Amino acid sequence: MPPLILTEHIRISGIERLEVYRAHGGYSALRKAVSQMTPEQVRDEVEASRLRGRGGAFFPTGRKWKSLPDNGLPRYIVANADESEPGTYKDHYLMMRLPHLLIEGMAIAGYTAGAHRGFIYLRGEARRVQRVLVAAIEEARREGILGPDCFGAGRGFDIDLHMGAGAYMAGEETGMLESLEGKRAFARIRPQYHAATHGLYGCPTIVDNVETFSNVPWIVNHGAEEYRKYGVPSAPGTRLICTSGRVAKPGVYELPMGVTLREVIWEHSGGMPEGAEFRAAIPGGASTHILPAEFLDLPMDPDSYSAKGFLIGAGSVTVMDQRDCVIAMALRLGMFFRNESCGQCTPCRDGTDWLVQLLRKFETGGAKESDIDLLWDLCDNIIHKTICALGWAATVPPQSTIRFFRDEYLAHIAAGGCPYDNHPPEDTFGFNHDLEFPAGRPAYREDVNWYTSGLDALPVRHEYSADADD
Amino acid sequence: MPTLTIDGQSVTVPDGTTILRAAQQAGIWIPYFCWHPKLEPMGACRVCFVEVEGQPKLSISCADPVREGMVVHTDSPAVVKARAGVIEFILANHPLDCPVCDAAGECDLQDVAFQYRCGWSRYDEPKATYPDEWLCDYIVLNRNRCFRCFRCVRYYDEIVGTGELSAKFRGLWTQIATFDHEPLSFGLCGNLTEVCPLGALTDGKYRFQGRPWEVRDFPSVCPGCALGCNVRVRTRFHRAVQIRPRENDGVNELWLCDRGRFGDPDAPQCPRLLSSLVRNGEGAFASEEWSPALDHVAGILRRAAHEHDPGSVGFIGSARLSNEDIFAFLHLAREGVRTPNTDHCTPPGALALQEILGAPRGTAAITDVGEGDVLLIGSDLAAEQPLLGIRARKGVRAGHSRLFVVDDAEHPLHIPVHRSLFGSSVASTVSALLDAALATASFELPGWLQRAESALPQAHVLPEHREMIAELRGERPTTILVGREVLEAPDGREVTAAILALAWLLDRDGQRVKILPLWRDANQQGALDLGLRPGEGGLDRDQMLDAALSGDIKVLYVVETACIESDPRWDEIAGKLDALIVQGAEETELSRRATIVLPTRLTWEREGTYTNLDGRVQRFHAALAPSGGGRPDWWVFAGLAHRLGAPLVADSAAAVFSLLAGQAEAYRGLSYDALGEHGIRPAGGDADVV
Repeated sequence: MPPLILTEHIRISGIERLEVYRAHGGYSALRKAVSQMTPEQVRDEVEASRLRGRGGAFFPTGRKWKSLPDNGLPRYIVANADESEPGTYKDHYLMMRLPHLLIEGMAIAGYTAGAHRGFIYLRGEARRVQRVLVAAIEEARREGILGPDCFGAGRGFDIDLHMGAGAYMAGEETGMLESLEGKRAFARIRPQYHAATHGLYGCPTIVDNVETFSNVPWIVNHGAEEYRKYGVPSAPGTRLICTSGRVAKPGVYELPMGVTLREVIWEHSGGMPEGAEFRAAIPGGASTHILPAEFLDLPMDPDSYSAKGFLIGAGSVTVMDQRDCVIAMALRLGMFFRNESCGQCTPCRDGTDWLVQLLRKFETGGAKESDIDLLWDLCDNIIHKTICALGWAATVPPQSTIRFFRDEYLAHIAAGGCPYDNHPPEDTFGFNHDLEFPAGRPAYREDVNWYTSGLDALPVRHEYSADADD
Repeated sequence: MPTLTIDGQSVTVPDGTTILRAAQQAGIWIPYFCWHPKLEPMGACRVCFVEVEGQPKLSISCADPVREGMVVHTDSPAVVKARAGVIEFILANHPLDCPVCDAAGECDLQDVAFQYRCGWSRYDEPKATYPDEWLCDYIVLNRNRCFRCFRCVRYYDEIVGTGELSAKFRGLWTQIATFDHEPLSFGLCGNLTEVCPLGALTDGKYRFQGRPWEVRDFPSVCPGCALGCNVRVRTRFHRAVQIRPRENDGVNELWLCDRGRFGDPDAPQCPRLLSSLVRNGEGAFASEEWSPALDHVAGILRRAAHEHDPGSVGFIGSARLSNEDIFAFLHLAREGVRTPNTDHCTPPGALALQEILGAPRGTAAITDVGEGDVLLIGSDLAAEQPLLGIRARKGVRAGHSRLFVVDDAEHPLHIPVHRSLFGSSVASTVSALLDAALATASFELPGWLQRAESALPQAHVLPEHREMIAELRGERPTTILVGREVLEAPDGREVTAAILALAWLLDRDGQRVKILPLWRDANQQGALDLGLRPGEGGLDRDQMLDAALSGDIKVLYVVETACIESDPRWDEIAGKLDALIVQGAEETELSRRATIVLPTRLTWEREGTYTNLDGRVQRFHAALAPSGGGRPDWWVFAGLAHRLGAPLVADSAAAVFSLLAGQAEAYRGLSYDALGEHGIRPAGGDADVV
């Protein structure tokens, strides 16, 4: 049985409430940090644990916390709860069930940084999570866990919940800071505007994923050495992996770092449905490579994947079987990135649409073999030429499918369209010339279930409920 | 001061300089679209890539700072491929509008695209389209052409301060728009045509009027106000079609206000005077050739001067005349007719400057505005001097300026104001500030200051007055902008004297606190420097009009009547005078009452020099050949002076200027060559601030 660092108590009814959380050891880490450790000691512990960010980039958290400059400006803690990567829903689940774990992790971070304010940036569509988080923050304030003197006389910390308004770019670190400041979610240019040095309002800011903060209380309670026993040496601990697609039991699973795709699919997610043959899997959300069967046994830790040139992503595994067309998947993901591009820099704004146009030609007819090389070359012109990683992420589906499924492209050309028995994804945001806004749906509608819209190509269950039944 | 190598060339630059600026200093051109010399770098267009040795990714030269020992390649194969790729993406959705686009021929995208891709892209799919819109009466937005460099949005955020333009939607649907189709406000919107590197934002008045290879540009100076912005007048086949700014860091930087660019929409449209007009026996106007008309006028002047007395002739000039015109005007009055009655609509505030500072001019340069604190007294800056507003805004945004405002009503400034005092009148607030400053003055006060203090009515000193004085003391350089509400008011002399007293109390050496008078008319400073004022024992403008009523003045010679036309005394005066000679380019109320009307040239047909409000003498060239019968003002005065026995030995504006430079103290030693195309500030001490 893998250790349950995050989800040990997640099935307990009422764990989202403060008294139940506390009865099961909640906030003991915060108390220990504030009363028995100095901020430096806590930072050292986090660094020694080699905890790495769980938002997809896997940047060493301790190193990030230690890189805040000492320039007299106020410090801020921001939790990235925007979670808009297609396929990823683990943070939603974590926050719905364990909001206090996030609050505790942020408070410990606030203690180490000497920050007085923290923000949770939650995507605007997550109304249920909002209700849970608001209730939890209120409880924490009432009990004095958050407040003007929670760390001692005159040293307080408070958390505000900020709702987003429907943009993937607001989950990009600097795009989120811009949105928090009340501006358009444009990414900031780096290296001038790294969040740690020049973050919210230009002040040193720690921005971390919800899951990353949620790991911190366990590390404080049990110690870095204990944490390093799990996972792999370069990336210890566990991670939440949420599965979707052609699996029998899609859901959120806490698994040690280094688990393989094969284990995730067949050992934990109940294997593939009757009659389904494995085709491809996306190991970490839309920005990661669409991988064929030959990588089923590659350990899912950041260094093993980056040695092969893959990004490991934020822990969402989407599985495809022999009925599914990888190019249709690439097209649908390409549409996502095109729709979500903030529009600031040329390659992403203009390039992603070109990629979609080309992929659509493969799906609906009209593509030539030279289009494959054109597609590859356009992706090269986007990679590392953009302000943020969205442009690069948009090139991953086309380039990974060309790399591993080139014969699919040739088959599509020969067949004059998609030979698979499913409809090509509908471009609900396609260009209608001469209209002020694209035809189809407006930017945000109350009645649309945003969790499932647009992913009709794959039958996926995202259901999870506040009552923790299996 | 790090030193770096760019394309093999070594260059040393100040700390914090970006690679792009360093390359420009070294004379190496790196293409850019979203970068602009007056805006914060954004790094959005991704065209200015350079390769920096030791860095895995290409660097954005407009935003990345240089480091000691950096080795930069601006033309390596990786850079060229990256730039070509970006341009291909831009061209993917850019319409082939060049045949119908006003920017064709002067378009940054054309130039860079041809350099890197021969204007060709592999894109073969439908292009995205968006609706066009007139953002206001003067600016057209062709959204299809927009490639989202966001310069216009940043221009409105950083330079203008109103944030009227913004980006709507996101990604490829990003469009530039105003909120809810509100039109752009009139004031600084014209600069969008300079700021937009493409033909997305174009001049609505100039739309479809000419191609860059058909037009000629003439350097000139805008006559709209005393700032003297450098412009180029664009003409197509001898018609003026557009006014655009010329760069002058000492005056207007890169900008031009909308009144100067498009004309004042509130100004009355007057018909042009085409020939000299002389009243015949029946009292109707009859056309006359120049020679007989001048003979006629000379005769009138000679009779009045010899038969009555030179003091029966009055000369009312204008601050819109060029220095050459004013010099010839004074020559005619003083040497030809020998009357001391010369004046123009002198702002009373100028008299205080003359009396207290010794010369009728301020002490600040335009470039001082925004370098330190700014104290704005009695001016609707955004409406009257928006370009000075730009300078103040830049200083406040950068954090080294604070803006203090004293006025009787609040005007929208779009600059964060540090402290403002809105009293019942500017005079009362200035009086209170002066008293607050005097309260802590422990030294001997000069006589002029005591007089200045007692000239204004006593005002109640409040804590806020004391606080403003306390804040204005200190080390920061301060520029006091004195607006026309003070300078032109009836009590302008007293209030300006009080402001000078205040400045003296804050800084007795006059090194830290400087004054900039915001005159109204283009050559106000020149008129004051050349002494267009009453001579020994002469009458000033008001006295001349009174004397005309009483019959002591029989002949009035009025040039450019705008500033005195509305005076109610004219109804009576016109009947009483023996002769009213009016000179100007357009028919006005006063010219219709005149005895003789002399036509002069229209704005862009004239040449000469103006002196702007910080004392910079600038040349303006004629852009159009003269049409109609108008002649230069100086030529008319010279012709009359010749007939009166005091010839002015000059046959061109340049010749008049040489005479002027020989005789006028303020402009001694200047010449047209020395002025160049950006002018000179003789009073500034430095030879040239360009």
